[in-house]
Amino acid sequence: MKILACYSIKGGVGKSATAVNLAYWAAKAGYRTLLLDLDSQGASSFYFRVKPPVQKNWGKRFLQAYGQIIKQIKESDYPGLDVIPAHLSFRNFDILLDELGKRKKRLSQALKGLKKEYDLVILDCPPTISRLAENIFNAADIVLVPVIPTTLSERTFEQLLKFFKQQDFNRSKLIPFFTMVDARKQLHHEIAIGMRKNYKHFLRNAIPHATDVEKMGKYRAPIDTFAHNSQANRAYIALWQELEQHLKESDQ
Amino acid sequence: MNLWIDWRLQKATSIADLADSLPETLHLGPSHSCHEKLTVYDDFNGTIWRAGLALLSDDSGWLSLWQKNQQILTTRMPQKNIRFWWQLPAGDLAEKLEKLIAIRAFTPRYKCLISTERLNVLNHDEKIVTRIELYRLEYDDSQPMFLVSLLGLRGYEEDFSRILKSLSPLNPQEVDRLTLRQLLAETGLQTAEFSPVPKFNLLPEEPSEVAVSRMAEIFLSSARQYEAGILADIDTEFVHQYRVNIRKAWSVINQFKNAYTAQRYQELKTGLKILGSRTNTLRDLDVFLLAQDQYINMLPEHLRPGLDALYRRIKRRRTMAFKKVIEALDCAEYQLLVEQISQTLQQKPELATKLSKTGIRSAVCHEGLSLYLKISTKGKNIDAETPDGKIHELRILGKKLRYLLELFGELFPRRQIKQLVGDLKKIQDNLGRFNDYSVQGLFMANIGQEKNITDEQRASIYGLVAVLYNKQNQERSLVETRLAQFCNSQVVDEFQKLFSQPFAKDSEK
Repeated sequence: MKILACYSIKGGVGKSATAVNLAYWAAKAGYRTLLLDLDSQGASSFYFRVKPPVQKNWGKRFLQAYGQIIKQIKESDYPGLDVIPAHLSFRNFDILLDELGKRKKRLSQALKGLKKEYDLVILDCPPTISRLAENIFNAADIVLVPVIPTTLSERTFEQLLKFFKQQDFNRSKLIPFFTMVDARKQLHHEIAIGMRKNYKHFLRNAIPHATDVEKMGKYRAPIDTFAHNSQANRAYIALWQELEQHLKESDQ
Repeated sequence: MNLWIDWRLQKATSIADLADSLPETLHLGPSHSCHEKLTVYDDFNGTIWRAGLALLSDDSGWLSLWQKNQQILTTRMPQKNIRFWWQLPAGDLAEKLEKLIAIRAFTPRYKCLISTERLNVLNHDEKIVTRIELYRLEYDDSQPMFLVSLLGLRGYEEDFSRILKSLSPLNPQEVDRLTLRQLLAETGLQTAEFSPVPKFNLLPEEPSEVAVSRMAEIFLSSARQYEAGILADIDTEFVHQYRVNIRKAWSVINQFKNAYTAQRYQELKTGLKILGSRTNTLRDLDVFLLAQDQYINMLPEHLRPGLDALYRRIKRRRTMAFKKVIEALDCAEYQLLVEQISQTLQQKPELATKLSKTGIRSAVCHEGLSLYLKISTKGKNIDAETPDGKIHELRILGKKLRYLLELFGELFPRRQIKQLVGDLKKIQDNLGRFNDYSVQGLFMANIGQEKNITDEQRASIYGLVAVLYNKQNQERSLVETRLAQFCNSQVVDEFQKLFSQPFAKDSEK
């Protein structure tokens, strides 16, 4: 089982859209896939029309026992793709992690039990650099980072790199890709070139700035289901294919 | 909790009926319809179906092999009415059918129309909570049948339970998982097990005459099952199996001829001999035609064209022989003859001889031991100089013993019978090939002497005769070794143990 985290310190960069579309294509490619929505805002749960559980303190239970996780799995409308929806209590993850032992590896342990059932777990992460983020970095095989080619995003990506270095996380896990790219903007072009020079692990494929991505909120579904021939859909397919290659290589 | 269930519905059910039955908070999404007019193919024995598969075609002209709910192989049918794997485009499906049914024809066995409505039950977020497949099955002139599959989604167990409850007024009856095979079975596709070896339900103490007559009658009936296939010339196995059954009927009677009065034995002998002989020529030609590739491969390249021409000649001859078989079988005289034999077998037993009253098991033990001792005595005298005629005598004794073991097997422990048949098979295969090469060589040599045979054809024929002669010699050289293996003390003990032990019901049976 591989764990892929869609992560960014910055909000609004398309983490959830990426998690949803990649999960969809992974399942289509035959990977038994679980999307775990760790962001209490629940965007990817919303896209898959899956409601959060009604129990209180679900976040605490989540971190305590694998059996609790299993109970919250919801089958999506797409074969081979299950979802664990977000819960409002997930906003307190950091406090909960401080209360519990094994603070940095708690998430990794909680997910271990899923390996018989799934080939790929995709984590849709909240925009935070905290105790939860450390857990994510420990658990994930790949930390996929959507980056808008703007000065601000460049800065936050550098912060992330610095954090990885300081905390001694394996930096080769970090795989960034450009998102919300507006090819008409000279700035996007220049920043993208510069960042690719400085950080060699950038994926070749990028996601364009497109209204079809925004329409996911309207249709509450992966792009392929309502805009099959769109540029955005083709971009996500290409991104998945490139990423699949990384997953296979990391197996060898 | 199981998240799936399959039901047969008691009455005609529409999508609207399902929609009306759902709980208030749930509703049906758009449906996706599919109508398939299916033809199911199989060989006479139902081999494909019994292997857990289904060979189907629809209107599109494709032939597909299905396992459970999965189409595993498919190919385009080059034309309608094809019957053999070698008529299909080369590929996986043709290869699979070759392995499954070899020389048997696959013919349409059943037709039906399956209409499927694929539906989703949605909650108020328009999220699927259960998938439904509603089937309408039509076959022959009967009333359509309605079945439904419900598949709940993980995490939506409560909704699934509510749906099941809400549909209960439709009076559903639970059935096995509705795979495509199960759907076909629901429509009444005949799936009864076909056993090429019939059960006789023999009783050990049953008088021999009674048991043997019943067995012969069963073989005669079995042979008659193949008549229609012979007349339609579906495949060569119909003639072969017909002959095998007639031969078995004759074999049991002949082995226990002393259980009958001379007059009754003679009646049966005459009748069964006539039945057996009518198809002799056709079968000989079929064997020759079936071996075409094998024969061609035996010859060097330059002799092959002559054989091709010869095969064209044999095919014409087969057409003539087939016509004669039709004339012989499709007439009132044939019907009368078969009925007369059948009546003789069903007549009240005369019980006029000592053997006729002997319990069948004792009679089989006596006959079996006697056959084995004859084989081992004659076998010990076989050496490199023994004439071929003696080898053939031995082969016939071996065949009798094998029939005895196989046909009366239900009277003995299965494991022992299996072991001894296995021992016997090794020598029989050797003797069988020895005989086949001899018969085939003779058959070819006779053709070589016919008129209108060109020099090219004659060269091929005698080339083949020479190859067959060499092969016969090779088999001949193995006979002594095989016989020594079959006559060793361990096999002797096994036979004596089998045929001298009192009857005990075998727990394995």
